[in-house]
Amino acid sequence: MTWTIQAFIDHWIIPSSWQDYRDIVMESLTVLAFLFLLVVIIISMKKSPILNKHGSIEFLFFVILGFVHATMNVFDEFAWIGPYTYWKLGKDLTLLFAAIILVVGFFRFFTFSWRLFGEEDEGGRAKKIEETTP
Amino acid sequence: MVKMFHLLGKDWALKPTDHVTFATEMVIAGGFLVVWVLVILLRVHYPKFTKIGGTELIIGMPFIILKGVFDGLDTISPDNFKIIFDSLESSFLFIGLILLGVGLLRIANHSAKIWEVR
Repeated sequence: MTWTIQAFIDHWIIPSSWQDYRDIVMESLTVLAFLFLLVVIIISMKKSPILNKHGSIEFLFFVILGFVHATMNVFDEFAWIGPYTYWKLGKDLTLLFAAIILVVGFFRFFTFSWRLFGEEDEGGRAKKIEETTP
Repeated sequence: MVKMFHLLGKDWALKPTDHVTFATEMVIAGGFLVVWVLVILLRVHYPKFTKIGGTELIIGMPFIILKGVFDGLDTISPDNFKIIFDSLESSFLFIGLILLGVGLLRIANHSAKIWEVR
């Protein structure tokens, strides 16, 4: 185990300048923001269970993957990872999957609202489009 | 082949090892851009339904898109700019996430009320 960690981490970094500290604080704040979002999603899923099949599950996975990305971001302020390019790519791929899942989530939320409110939300453009389509 | 350009008195370079990373970061920004467009479409089509919570999402998403853009700039920037982009990236993500959270919470509250009535 120790050997694996040593092969993975080139050396530990001791933050020295105020820029380092600012960076660590900002990145830790994003971790907290993802935790806040996690609480929000759990509250939302309890409050409107009808949305669970229409986007909430995807939002939950987005938050979990985003949290992993943010944690990796804070971790590499303290440790220099051997092949840094691959580490950065790994971080980015996590966020990429999160972004794709968020797109899917919003798309499902969008199509659900479309079915639900298609003809009802007066003053919006939806009604006009519905009227023009045969 | 290393693509180099000169900006702000420094050399910016996209190294072959960074091609995939840079492309991924740009796709991330693009993904969040798609989410932004979807949110705007929702706002335009259903002004009544999105009256509560929609505005926060519309204001918040550009911050998250900018996070992706700064991530990309961080990859190609000269060393002394990296730390600035790193901080900018996390600040923008933080602001964007908080707005997203507030927006989603208000939407959930609002839709809970709507379906209670139905």
